[in-house]
Amino acid sequence: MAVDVAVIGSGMAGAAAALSARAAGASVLVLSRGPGASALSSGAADIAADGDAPLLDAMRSLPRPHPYRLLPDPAAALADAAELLRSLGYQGPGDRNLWLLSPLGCPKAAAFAQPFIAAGDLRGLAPDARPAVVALAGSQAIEARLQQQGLRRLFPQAPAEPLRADFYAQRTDALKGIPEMAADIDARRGDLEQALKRLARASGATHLWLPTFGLSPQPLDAGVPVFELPGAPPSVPGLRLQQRIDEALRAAGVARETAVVESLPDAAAVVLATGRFIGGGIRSGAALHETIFALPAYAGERRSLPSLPGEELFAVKASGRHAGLGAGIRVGPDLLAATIGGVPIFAAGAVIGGYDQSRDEGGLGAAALLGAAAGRNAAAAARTRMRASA
Amino acid sequence: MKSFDLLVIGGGVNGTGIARDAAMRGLSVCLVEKKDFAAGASGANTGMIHGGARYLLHDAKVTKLSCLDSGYIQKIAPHLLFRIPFLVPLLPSGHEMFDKAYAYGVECYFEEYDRYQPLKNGKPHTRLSDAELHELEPGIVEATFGAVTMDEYGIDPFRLCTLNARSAAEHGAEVRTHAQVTRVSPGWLLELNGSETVKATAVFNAAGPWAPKVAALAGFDLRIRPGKGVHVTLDRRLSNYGIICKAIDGRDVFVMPHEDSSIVGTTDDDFYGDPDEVTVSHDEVEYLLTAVERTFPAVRQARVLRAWAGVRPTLFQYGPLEDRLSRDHRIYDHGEGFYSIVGGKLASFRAMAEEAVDVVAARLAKGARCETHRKPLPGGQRAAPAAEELSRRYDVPAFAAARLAYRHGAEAGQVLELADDQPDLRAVCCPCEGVTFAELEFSRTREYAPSLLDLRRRCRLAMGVCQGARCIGPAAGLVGDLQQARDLLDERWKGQRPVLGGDGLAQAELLQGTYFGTGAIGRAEAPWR
Repeated sequence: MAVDVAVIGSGMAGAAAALSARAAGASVLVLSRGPGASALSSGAADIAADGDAPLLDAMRSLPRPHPYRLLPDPAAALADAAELLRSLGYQGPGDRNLWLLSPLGCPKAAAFAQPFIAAGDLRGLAPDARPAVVALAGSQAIEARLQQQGLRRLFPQAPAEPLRADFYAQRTDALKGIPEMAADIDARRGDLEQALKRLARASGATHLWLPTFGLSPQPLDAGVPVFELPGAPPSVPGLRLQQRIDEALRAAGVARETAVVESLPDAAAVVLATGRFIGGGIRSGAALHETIFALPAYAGERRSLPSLPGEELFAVKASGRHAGLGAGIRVGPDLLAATIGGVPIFAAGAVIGGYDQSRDEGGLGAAALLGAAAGRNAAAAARTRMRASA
Repeated sequence: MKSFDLLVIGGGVNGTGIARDAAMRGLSVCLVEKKDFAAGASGANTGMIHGGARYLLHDAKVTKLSCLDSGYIQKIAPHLLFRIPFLVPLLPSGHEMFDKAYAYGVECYFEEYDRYQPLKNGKPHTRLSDAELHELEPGIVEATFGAVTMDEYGIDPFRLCTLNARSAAEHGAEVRTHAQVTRVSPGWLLELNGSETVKATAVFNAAGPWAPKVAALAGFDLRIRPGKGVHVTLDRRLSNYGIICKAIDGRDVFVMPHEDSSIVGTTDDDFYGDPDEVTVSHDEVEYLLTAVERTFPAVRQARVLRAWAGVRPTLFQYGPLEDRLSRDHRIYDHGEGFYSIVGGKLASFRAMAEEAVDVVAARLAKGARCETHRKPLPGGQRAAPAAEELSRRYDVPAFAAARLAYRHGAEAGQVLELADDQPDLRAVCCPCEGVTFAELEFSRTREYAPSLLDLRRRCRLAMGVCQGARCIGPAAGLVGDLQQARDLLDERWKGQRPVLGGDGLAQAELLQGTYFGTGAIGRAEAPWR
């Protein structure tokens, strides 16, 4: 066998599996065809949220068939995830959620976040603070109105409108999206700092939120604390995460291959980390199924059925609970999905069904947590198989 | 109390058309619509100003009127119409003699239709060989015995209604959307939204499928035979031409390019429910896709973006199958100056409005001659500016300028001038449909579109391939109201739900993640306090 563990997928779940298998001493190959949902992620890593309950309680409150319910020791799994996420530059208290200002101006719970996003934990601001969102240009400046409205609901003394920074001057700057702004900020960080200082002085704002800190974020000195907003897709934090994953896998000595995997990789154990619909791990064609090994997939309690119509899987209201969004394969207690040709296939992340990533049931954080556990289990299984064959 | 010569109920194509005609003739007019322009049947159709070739055999009067009026509509709103040549592929039956006779019959049929084509600047039909057909549309099933072509026109029906209403207002009419008639008292006192009352000498009920309800408010009995029509929208222009296909029950189903997408439609089934609560089922979607698949298998490669339905206010008739019902219109004089109009086609709305206003004008002994066939709708006064020119002059992306020029014609420059004072407005809000914030702001302030749901109909906001994943948040920033984003998300979701599957699930996951995951929409409290 070429390697101990082959991981399919290089998003957060695949990276976590590869890094934890490597840390357990296995040789690891990551096979991936390209970026998936992790590259679109917001910069926050959700594990679970239930009001402001401690993280572990929120995890335990999630009903079956959430894969957390399979974990023999959720506390240990959470600790592993925390370590892994921190190694990828994410920050958070680890035992409770951060409360972040979402791109729509709503408080969003996340266990961890990229540093300048995590710094903007709304809990850390006094109720009489005067926080403000910085408007740079174009669509971002218009969206900032919603964010500022959200801040004002939480902090009544906040300004009514976002604060316009004197950073862009050309009228074509209005056409820039946040990724283009990130590149401009990387190039003109000094100008931005000056503009923010002027803004803070003139407005009396106590805290500022920027749409992005750039592709290579650095602390910004504006005289008041400055935070970064989580990003909606296509997000700058998602691009940074993908870069960070590539670096971490390289540093850990994980082999990489760009490939569309169609058959069983040559490895003692496999981790399937192909994501859900965006990643392409789960598909609904004639039946709901996993795409590489054709494992059956489930939506809620529904078995995979031929031509399952959307109306049966999705609630009437957009905001309702949608069994279809939690579609995925089922796994055993050790995250084992199947054994094919004697090779154990573990699964990690959103390819596992039973949780909806858009509903406080774990998104990027769940991918890290389940990935770390699957990687460790795969390394152990590979070791057992090697020992047996020796 | 405000008093009018004529109060028109319904902001569909009939109501807005009647309001425009009456206002242009000098009547004092009030137009009331409970929701928004084209929010009912006028916005849920195939989006065609077609000649009605289908009605030639049983309803030639409808064909003639549609063709004649199509010619006029082209004159008054040249920017809004786009030509759609149609292909009628001829599929072998297995019996050569039958096929030959069938082809001959089809040609005779279209030869008859050709007599009407000059009325709407359409080209006469042509007969294509199998090779010619496949050169034009390689996706059509192999082994046809050729095809027949015919010429039709598409239109943005939402804008057509809006422009009629705006024109009515320019001629002095009072235009009120989100104004529902809640009570009707003799002497024609009409209560709006349960509060204010207006007075009118004559009332025209143009409420489409809601017309029986409105007539009942005034104590009149009006019967229609409501027919539900379902369409689906595909994620791309799948064909260059409209293609006419046969459904399993022998009905004609079309697939046709429309804006940046293709539309497949339609069904026709008796409808007994509340027209406010019309939904689409998976079976109806499959009926349409299966119908097209037999002639144009490529339809299965497209991603179905959404399914949508409307209710036709067809004339009442007991007996015929839905498809055989007359598409003619009728004006009912209930007495005392209260009228209803039902039936008819989008393509002949202007002529129907003229006929309706003739009736009212005669009763009131007031009003000049009809001018709606000669005076252009807003934006139709001159040729639309070139997209490159708009793009250069106002610093907006060329693709957005092109879409703007289509939707706003000669007024496109005026829309972008809004960005002179507010530079942010030149940004593109909806990248799928090329909608700038300036266009949204223009419609919001000058086209009776206070909400995002209305702006969707004015500007095609959130109607493109991502169904709002990109634009709903930014657009909510413009109107400064997150609740409106939730409303538009629900409205878009309603159409996506029956078709979710395949690649559409990835788009749904992205949309849900953006708004409910990352956006945490709807959580306004502070759980940590």
